[in-house]
Amino acid sequence: MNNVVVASAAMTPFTDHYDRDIRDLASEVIRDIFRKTDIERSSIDGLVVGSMASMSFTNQGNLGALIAGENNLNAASFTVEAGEASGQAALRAAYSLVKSGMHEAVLVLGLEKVTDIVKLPELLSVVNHVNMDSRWEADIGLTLASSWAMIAKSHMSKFGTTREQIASVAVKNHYNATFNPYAQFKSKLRIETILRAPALASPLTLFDTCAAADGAAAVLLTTEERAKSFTDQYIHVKGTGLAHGKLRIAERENLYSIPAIRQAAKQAYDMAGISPADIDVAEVHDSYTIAELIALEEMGIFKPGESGPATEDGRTKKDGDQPINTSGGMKARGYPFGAAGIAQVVEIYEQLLGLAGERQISDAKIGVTQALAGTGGTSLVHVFGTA
Amino acid sequence: MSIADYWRLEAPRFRLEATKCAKCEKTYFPPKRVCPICNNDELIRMDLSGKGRLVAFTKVEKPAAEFEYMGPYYVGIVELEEGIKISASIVDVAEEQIQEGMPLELAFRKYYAIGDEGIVYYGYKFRPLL
Repeated sequence: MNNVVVASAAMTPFTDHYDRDIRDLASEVIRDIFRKTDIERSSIDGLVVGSMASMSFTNQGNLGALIAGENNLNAASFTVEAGEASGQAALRAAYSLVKSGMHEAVLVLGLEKVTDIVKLPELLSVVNHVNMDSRWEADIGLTLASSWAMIAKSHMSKFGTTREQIASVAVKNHYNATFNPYAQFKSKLRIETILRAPALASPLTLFDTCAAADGAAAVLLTTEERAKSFTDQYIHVKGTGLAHGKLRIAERENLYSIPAIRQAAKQAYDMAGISPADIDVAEVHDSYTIAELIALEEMGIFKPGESGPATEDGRTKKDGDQPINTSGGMKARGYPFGAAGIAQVVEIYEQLLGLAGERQISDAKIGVTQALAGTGGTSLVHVFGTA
Repeated sequence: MSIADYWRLEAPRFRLEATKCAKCEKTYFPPKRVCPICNNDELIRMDLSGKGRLVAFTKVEKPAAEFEYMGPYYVGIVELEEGIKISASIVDVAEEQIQEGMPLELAFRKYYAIGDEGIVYYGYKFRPLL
């Protein structure tokens, strides 16, 4: 079996690209891959696109064929959808293609054009129906925000997590994003601003979640042998994990934990031969502030109930002892759904290779990405390393 | 929701009709046609009691498009007497009254309508036990 590496990474800024459609965003990020890396378009023999809801957002399906054709790529191409975790699911599919030897150089493209839907309630409807049980949750009035709100209440009551600790996730991610040129929000946020923002679902407010954004992100997966022929800037994909939980939140054992994250993390850590203590930097799912706290606990980075105090104490800032979401996360770097999972890998690529500029943390050797669909229907974890 | 789907879902949506595996006796709501434990397709229709208690709740302040007409409303997780947990909208309840553990019962209510002249969809919600 081949050693799989990430041999190039690029992303567009994440923002409201009112003047660009999915084709424009894809072509620009693919252009950047070939500008940064000395490999020919003709060498790419696979293209896996991760996109959550291109049919609902832009009325376009089969993005694999569209993007390959529009970009002069003679590559076997298809699209992977796993709700909000689509980007990381595409990465896992591409990994297996290179690992097995079926393809040698696979471009993984995360892509989402969201802001053509201009009314928030209509956007919420799409996101709810894709990521929850459409018929038995979204269709009866449950929203993703209300699901996360019930999870937040449960975490607060189980562990004594405070409202301020939950909000401190957003404060921290906005701080980190001020150092990221690709980020949607390069402005700091104060706890009071979050608490006083319009309510979303009690206790969460609008500033506990992300804003709409468009964007594309791409990474090139290939074998270590092939990568050496054209670059010395590559990182290893050391482990991958994927696990499911009940899609319907009512059927979960409890609301303060998300076992799918724990299971996916264990699979990925075991494959990579690491333990949580080895993680130097991680990009985790923070579509809602509370999601980051639970992810850190399920991934074993903090003990259950300890991620709130750790975040409040600044330990997860880019300059803290356990940097999390150095990119600014979905909250502040921006959250174009399918693109976000690949942008996580772009951040880890830059951190492990010392390319992260002002965001650079020192001596990063192991980086991890974690994605989630809904409140735990699907979770993926990937482990990357410099060796 | 399509009209065809609405028709298919009348029994479970209108009166909490579940199905019970004739072999292992596990009850399913939402109802299933095949028991995935026994791989058995002999499932018996049965109505749930419609009584339960509230195990979690929140107030939806930013509804999705279909539910905007309702303004802020409560949703929660209801544990039915039969031990099955489902999500539902909680109605006829005041801010100072709603709390975890409170007894609830089935209420038949409007969900939403598609467009000004579209079909109106109805189904189960829950209200405080009278």
